[in-house]
Amino acid sequence: MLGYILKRAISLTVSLCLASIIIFSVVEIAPGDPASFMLGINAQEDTIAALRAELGLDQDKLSRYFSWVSGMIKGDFGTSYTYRSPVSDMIKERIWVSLPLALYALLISTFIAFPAGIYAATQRGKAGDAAVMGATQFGIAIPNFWFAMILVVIFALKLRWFSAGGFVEWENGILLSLKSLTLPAIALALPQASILSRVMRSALIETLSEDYIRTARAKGFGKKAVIWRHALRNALIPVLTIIGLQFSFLMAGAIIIEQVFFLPGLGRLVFQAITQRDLIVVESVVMLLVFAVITVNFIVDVAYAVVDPRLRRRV
Amino acid sequence: MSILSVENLSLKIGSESILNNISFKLGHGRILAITGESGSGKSMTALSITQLQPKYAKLEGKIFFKDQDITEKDEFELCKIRGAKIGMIFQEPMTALNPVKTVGDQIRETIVLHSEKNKKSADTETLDILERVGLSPATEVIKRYPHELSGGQRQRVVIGIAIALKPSIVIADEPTTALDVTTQAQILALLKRLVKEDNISLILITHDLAVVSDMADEIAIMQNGIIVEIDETQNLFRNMKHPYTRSLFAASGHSVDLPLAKRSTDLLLTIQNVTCRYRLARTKIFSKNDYFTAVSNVSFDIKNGERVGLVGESGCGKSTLTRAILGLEPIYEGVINVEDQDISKATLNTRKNIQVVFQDPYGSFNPRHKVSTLIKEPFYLIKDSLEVKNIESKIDNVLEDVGLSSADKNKYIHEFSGGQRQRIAIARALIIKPKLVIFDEAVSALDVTVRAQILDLIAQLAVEYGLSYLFISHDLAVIRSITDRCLVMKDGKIIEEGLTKKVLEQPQNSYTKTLIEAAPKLPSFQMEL
Repeated sequence: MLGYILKRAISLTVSLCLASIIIFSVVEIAPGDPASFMLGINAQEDTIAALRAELGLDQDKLSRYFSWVSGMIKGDFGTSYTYRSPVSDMIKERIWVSLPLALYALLISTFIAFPAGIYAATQRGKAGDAAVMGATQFGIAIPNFWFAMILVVIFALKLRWFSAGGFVEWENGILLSLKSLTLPAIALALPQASILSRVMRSALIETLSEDYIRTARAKGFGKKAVIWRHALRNALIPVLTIIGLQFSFLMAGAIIIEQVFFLPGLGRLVFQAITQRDLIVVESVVMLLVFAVITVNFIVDVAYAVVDPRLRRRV
Repeated sequence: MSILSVENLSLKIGSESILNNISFKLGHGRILAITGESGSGKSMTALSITQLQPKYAKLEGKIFFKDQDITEKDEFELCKIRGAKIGMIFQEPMTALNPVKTVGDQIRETIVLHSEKNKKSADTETLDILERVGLSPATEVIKRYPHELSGGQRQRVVIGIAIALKPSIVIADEPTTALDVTTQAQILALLKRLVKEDNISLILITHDLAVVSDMADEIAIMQNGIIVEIDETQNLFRNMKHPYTRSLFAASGHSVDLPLAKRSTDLLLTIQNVTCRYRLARTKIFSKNDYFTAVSNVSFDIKNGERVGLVGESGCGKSTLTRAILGLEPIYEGVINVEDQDISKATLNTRKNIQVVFQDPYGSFNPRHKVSTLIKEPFYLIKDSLEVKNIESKIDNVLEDVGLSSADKNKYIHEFSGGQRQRIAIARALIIKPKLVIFDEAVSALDVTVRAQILDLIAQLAVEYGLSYLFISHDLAVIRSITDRCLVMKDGKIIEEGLTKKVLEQPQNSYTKTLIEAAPKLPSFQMEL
């Protein structure tokens, strides 16, 4: 088990190094000099040179790469070209919106998907199964920004239970902040929950046809007990894979939802930074997202081994 | 008085009748064997007794267990009977246990489910059970996961689960079919001992008459969902009233008429000091690579027209060796020559001289191709495959040679039975007129009557085509009837070799002796036909 985790940790580090090199190179290749962009078309040559020196753009690529990476490890992401403020501060502010939003959405999605998937699997071929499958088909088909707007119309404008947008800072009370994230989280969770229920259903149906389920039934376990004691844990592997992928998507893919609800999240930050050619922000946020995705995959890998003892002895 | 009485049991799935009015009784402490070929309804009978038949199956008739009709019980009452009063053992020990739970857990939960015992006293009981089924040290085994045990050991765990609560009846559905002969003998002996000790009535379901004859007090022969004959073992074998019983018995002991191969000195295949090894998955990070030697320093040759058998149990290296001969497996050391050409460098023209027939007639064909496409595939081994003339007539001929008709070439593989598919596999091997055909457990998956027909076909083709065979099997009876010379393989090495008759009748190696002794034998008393 320890060897397994160690090997995954090594592969995590290697992935991060490779990702940082790729991101750095891509941003380097992108045309346009940030200094001249920031100063506008009428800027003097020497002003640009001075800004370049200030931003560290005049150094060679290798040392810039290393100072970028070592800075990030220390939590220093550099200074934004446009706002002239530390990137780390900008990220810090926004990650406390994006990360809770992603986790919240994931939680909702899992809480809907598990019961729905399990129910559909036990009702296979019956009306209950058809209902769940129909609903998930609907959930996958609906664009989430549209669903978000419908939620706003119903729950914010008509019923006035939630506000239509914006984010209440955490200092003002955790519950209020969570409340402001609720509609966006539901909008994000809907398609994810639909996909996850389908995966849960098919994984469970497959597991229920395994020989060891028949053995468990022959021991005297009822149909429900068999699901809880024997089938569920075996069906979890594909479900975990999807949850891992979904978290990555929710972290990075919330741009549209953040726009709809006026949330100051990472997605919006990247979007703005790209349009303003604020490359240092783009670089840092993308790196951060990569870090989050790779870490989640690492956690999923470890979860596999917790679920399935056959993987523990592997390296 | 009987403990179980099945009366007029019928079972239908859709409009198809699976069981048709079957009746039998099982006495206290008796062993009843139900035997028949695949599809005869034996397994469905077993599942019906515990009401675990598929939910879309329609069941009629009565099943009395201790004077109570099981078919009238609800799910809650049935759960109290299953595992506690009626234990079950299934065929495939590899998949019958939950891979994510320890074997201790899986035995213990049966005890806890049916009794008020706490975990600790259930634990002590679990240890006792593990000892009883011969898994020691039990304190060690109790913590193991199924994948850490061999097939035989897993089957012991499954047996442990079945007998844990000293049930009145144990139903064992093909408990040893997936196991090697030596393991099979041990498991059967264990089963026999346990049911005797606990005075359990056993229903033993198997396709193998030889296994049955040695174990059962009473035998029921099933065919197409009907019990055609049921009698005390001795009487059944002596009288064989029903023609199907007779044909089953004849097919089980079937041997083919094959003239001795013509002595030839032309070497067709030579294998010199061949070693094949696999890299094992590392168990510690940064540790050195470990290797498993599957085939270790093996040498033998096959002359033109010779029929050689290769016997061994699973894991002995026979499949690796087969793949190496076919050029599908890298050789670590040594040389394999086909007609003086190194197989690893051989041209297609040399390679076409060796063809193979695999074990599984269901998995070895692409389901989307027509039979004609499947059969003519080996022609692509010939350089200008398009120049081969009369492909169509060659397909027709070879299909007729293997006992099918030329009209079959336009069908798809799912339209054929297992035996027919194996004929198609043989046709595919023969169409290119090879010199050597390798049969890798080619008749093991077949029912006895079909197996007998395929063996006849193989024998007949050996003579017609003048073929050499490398016949790989764990079944000594088959090896005896087909081959002239045989090799016995264990742990990657050839441990005995010689004329088949001599090896099987006067084995020198102790392992060969064990293998021959472990093989179940049909009763030898003469039947009066």
